[in-house]
Amino acid sequence: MQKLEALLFDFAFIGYLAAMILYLVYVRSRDDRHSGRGHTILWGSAVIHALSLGIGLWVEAHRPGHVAFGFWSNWFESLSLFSLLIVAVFLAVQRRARLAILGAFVLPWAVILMGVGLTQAFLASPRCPFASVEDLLNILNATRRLPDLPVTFGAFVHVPLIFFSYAAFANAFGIGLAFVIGERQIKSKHPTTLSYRLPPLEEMDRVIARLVAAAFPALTLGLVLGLRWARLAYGTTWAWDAKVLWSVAIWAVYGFYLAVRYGLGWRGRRTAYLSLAGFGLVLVSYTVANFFSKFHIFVTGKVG
Amino acid sequence: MKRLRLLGVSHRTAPVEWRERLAVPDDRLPALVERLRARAAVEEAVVLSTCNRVEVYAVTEAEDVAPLRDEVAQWHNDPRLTETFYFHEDEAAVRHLFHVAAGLDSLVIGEAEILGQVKRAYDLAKQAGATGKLTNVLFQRAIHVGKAVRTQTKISEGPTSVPSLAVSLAERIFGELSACRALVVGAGAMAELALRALKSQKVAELVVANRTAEKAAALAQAIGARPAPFTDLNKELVHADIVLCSTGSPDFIFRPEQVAAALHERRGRSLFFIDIAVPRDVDPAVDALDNVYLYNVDDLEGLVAESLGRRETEIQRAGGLADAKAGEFAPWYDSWRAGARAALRHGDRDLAGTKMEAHG
Repeated sequence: MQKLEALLFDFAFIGYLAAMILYLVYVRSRDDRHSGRGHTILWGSAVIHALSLGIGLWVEAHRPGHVAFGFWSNWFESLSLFSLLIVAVFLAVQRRARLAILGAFVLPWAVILMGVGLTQAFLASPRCPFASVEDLLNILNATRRLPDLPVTFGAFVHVPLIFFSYAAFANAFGIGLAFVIGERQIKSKHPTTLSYRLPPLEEMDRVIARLVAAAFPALTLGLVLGLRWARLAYGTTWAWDAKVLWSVAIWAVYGFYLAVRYGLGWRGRRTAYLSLAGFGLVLVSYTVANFFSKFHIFVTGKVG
Repeated sequence: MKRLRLLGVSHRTAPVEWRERLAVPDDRLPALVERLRARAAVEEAVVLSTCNRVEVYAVTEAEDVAPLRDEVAQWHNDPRLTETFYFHEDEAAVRHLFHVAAGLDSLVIGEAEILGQVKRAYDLAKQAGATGKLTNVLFQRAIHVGKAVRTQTKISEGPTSVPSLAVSLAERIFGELSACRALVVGAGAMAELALRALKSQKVAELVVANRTAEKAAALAQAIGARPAPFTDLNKELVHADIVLCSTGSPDFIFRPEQVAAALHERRGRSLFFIDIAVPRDVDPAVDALDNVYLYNVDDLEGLVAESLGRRETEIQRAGGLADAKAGEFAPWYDSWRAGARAALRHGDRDLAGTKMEAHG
């Protein structure tokens, strides 16, 4: 099973990479065939990727004495989940808005995250990078253990809920980047070919706001479920955990975004920068804050 | 001997009052093809008729161009018309068609419309039963060349005029203009041009305001816009997305505090000012406001000049590409002519048959 899971992961990575390249070529050529192929490959890769994660989940759930809760508690699997969700959200955005060009701004994030996962696999088992995924999965499964704590459904879903919101923020970040570039060019009266190819500013602004509006409830629910479980498991809701602190900061930034955007009618450049800053915090939370966290530290995948 | 002959008039050789006399409406095409067949020994014919050109591509056995010329001249009875004709044959005609399809012979070089018109001319000729072996292959090739030149070079890129630039900038900000409201301030000749251009873009609402209310009302009625009192400008600013200014006012009409107030009520929706008035109507300090995009006449003309300059080098490349494609077509054309010659010698044997014989 691990072999299949690893193989599907490798295929998904190659697919994402190919789709990203096609979208980048599309930016230059504006030939719809490129974005069309990119879209098809992306869909296929996302399905393959979901299968890979599904197998992992199934294996984990059927292991005697283990529950599925532990599944996202290591770098590799969380990177994998994160990138799948980024791609899924992008496919949804493109379905609604037909903004193929944004693939060039969003997909690199999914590819980078998958690449980090592959690098981790390679560091754990320096075989050929693609074969090492299987080795890493074996190591992870061998070392996977759960703290002696009650596991609830809420504890299980709080991770994917928060990752879904992060994936939407990642999409908003990519589109925000495109917006900031396009806006600056038009404002400064030097529009280049790129700004003629990007979607209209107002439309990008709307898509960013909708992504944040969709992600915010998921983030809120994820945090509440996590905190509720903390009380159940550790007897306290607030334990001054680095990751929880950062997550609340992220929640505050995006909450502020929604308040000024829909409440005060701020739009355009200022709100775009706000969403960029929010995703900056997400990245810090995901990387740095982990090492200072008591409860959220990832299993490294190293034996011993 | 069968060959491809081209006869045409275009914006290069004849003014519009001459070209329009030759223009061929779609429904007259079958009758014209019949006449070409009967009187000018034409076997295949495609007639390309646009506002900038009328061209007849014909496969004919005639010894010279005279029968074709005389026949086309009769489409409109004026002997002086023939002086504006140009003629090409064989490879030169192929080359000309490829240049036309690539937009290299257009008034606005690289414009996209001509490619659709070439395709339409071919389709119409095909429906009328006027195409044959050469014209089928030639026109499909020409359409392919037209597409290839536009994707492989940048001749169709960038704005070529101030109105088209203003429209594409507005689209970069708002998307479809059919959802935008436009306000035109002023009622002079430039304002009228702008109103007509905006009307043709089918904006959701078109408002015209002028210091002399009667002039605004008259212009609004002529074009189908809503007149607004000059004193209501601040109110109109809240609703408009595109504001085009072209008044003769010596002072600024829009000042930053005024625009900032409107922006607050607009809840951040972008506002695009096109200031083509000299002296300017919009205080340049307005540009510092967020979500406001202000272009004056120098900004617009500078960008158009830049884009035309960039096109210049692309035109060279595109011409080279079209010539190369014409060169690639030459062997096929020669073998077609050879086939025609062989068919003449051997009776009704077809091209494939003579080829096999030659190899065997």
